[in-house]
Amino acid sequence: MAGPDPLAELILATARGDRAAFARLYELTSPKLFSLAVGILKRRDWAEETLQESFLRLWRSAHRFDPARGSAMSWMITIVRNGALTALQRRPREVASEDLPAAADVPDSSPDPLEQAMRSSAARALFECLNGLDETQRKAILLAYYEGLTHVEMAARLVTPLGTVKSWIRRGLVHLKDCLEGRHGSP
Amino acid sequence: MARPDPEKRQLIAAEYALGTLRGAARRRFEKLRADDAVYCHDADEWENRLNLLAEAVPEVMPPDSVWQRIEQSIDMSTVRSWWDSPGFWRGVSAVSVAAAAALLALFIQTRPVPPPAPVIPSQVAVLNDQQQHPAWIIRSDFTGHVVSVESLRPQDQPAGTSYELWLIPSTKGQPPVSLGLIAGSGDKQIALNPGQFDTLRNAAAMAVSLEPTGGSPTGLPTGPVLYQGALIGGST
Repeated sequence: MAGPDPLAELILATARGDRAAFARLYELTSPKLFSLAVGILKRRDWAEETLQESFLRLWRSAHRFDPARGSAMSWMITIVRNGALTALQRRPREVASEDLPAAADVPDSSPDPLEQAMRSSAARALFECLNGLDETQRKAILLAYYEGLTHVEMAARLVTPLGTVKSWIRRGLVHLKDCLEGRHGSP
Repeated sequence: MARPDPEKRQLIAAEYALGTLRGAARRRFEKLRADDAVYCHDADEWENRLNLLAEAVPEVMPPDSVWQRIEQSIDMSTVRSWWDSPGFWRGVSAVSVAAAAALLALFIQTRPVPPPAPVIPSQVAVLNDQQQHPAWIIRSDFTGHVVSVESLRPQDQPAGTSYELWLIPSTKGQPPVSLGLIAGSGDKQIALNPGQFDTLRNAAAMAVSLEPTGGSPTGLPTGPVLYQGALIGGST
């Protein structure tokens, strides 16, 4: 990791009960986290609930954050995505809600150069490796990540047998790992 | 249980991080991850990788009402909060009661020469951390006016924080009463004022919360409770 992570500093301050740091953390990260929750839940009201529950969880468990285990943003994203997946278990999603913002679209993995330039080098590496996958594998991985689709839902969406979808995902993940490790050299 | 071979193991972690591992399988993996450093490392690695995908999603502003509800919940939780919550009282579990009871028996047996002043039964608490490991023994002396704090293991204390010791009354809804700050290591004697003395007589538990340097600014716990244990002996 290069340099101190300002979000990590804010989480550590939150762990000491610093309300101002917590408010700043929310301000900086909630638009991205909300977008991820909307993408999975497809309903703004559910996404709002998940965001709220996630930040309360974060407030209570900030002292468990360990910067040695990964980035602050990744830790927060994991809390929100897990919250959204759990919410889906409580209430299966209604398909095709009219309340569907643009954020729910699967982002293009090869965006325009300006947007690409704004990404971290680690994210650029990940997207380059994704672009090296078969179209089917890439699509399956992105649908699973951005929309939280299960194997079964994905098979229905892509009109493809369940076993095929599962193997796209598995093979895609294995290739992704090989590609990323090949780029940086195995640790 | 033996772990599957590394490739298979890492694939499970990858599907967990991606979100396609669901239902009971997801919960099983979460348990493995909590208990086994190898699974934990696999999952950390895949989460750090895949969560970079979030950089490609556009930001969507949540309505202000979400933050307002978060703030309200935190305000409520610091006013009413953990000392009334079932979670806290589960933490003050049979384990800490048994540990305190054993200590109390030992303490009474080994007490030297009969005390001159009116004897108040001693009270003892063993404060455990969140993994139920004992960290402190707290006990009152026979006068009931002095409480000694004995550190069992030095506790890491984040910079800019203080540990504050609290008495939790047995009456539901009664707020905790501070016994002051304690250091992460070393022993301490606390002379009780009359209010603390009275509270100690009908307290059911003790807890240590993490507070800003110098202690809680509000007089009530504001930070997370890190150590807790049942208080036994005395009139209870």
